[in-house]
Amino acid sequence: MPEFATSIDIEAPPEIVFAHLVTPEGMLAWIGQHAELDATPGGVFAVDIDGNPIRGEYLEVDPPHAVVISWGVLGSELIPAGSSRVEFRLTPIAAGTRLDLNHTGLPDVEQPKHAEGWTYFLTRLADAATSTR
Amino acid sequence: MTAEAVPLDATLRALADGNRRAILEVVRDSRRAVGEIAAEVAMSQQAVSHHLRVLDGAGLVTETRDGTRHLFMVRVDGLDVVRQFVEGFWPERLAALKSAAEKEARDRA
Repeated sequence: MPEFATSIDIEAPPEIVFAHLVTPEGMLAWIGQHAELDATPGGVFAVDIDGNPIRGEYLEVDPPHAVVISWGVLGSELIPAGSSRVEFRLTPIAAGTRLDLNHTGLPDVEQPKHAEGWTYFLTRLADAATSTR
Repeated sequence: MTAEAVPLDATLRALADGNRRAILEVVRDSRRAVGEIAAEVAMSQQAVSHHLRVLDGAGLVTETRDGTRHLFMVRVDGLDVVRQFVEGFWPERLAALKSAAEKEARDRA
């Protein structure tokens, strides 16, 4: 499962949805309890979500069409800061905006084929468990 | 127990123990009884039973019966914790984004 995709229709124009992806006020209205954002390519993306320090950077900022960030958990061996990629694509529709989300670059947790892979995977999971709390 | 019902935390907590990871390695290829597992990992049957209960609670092993014997095997679906995490995480968060953006759109109208 290296990828997760979903979409949702929002009855608001793309400009409003876009603002919720690039400003701390907009971000905190739907995700996290603390946000430090610099919505320029290479700028910091830092949001604390239920005690998980999500860290990465903005990779692409195209108002009001797209926001791409790198995404990970600070201190996590499983999903290190900036290790995966989250794309938000905004498309105008009659009702407002269709938001397509694509989360890629996630660790592949398919059953490892070899004993070494299995042990490595379990150890990484355990590290993630102990380092994120 | 379904994979979706187990929170990421429970899975990670269950795995954050070297003894339980050792037990999972013993049951990864075939169904094994508690006594066999205990012999392989050099632990008491009582301790192995305790760890198996934790692993079962986290959806990481399945239990079957062969006559009077209880046999355990790894449940690979239970290891798919990252998928569980994002599949629960994003839809919930995007629903919140939808509410926030629609409220602002209404307020501006």
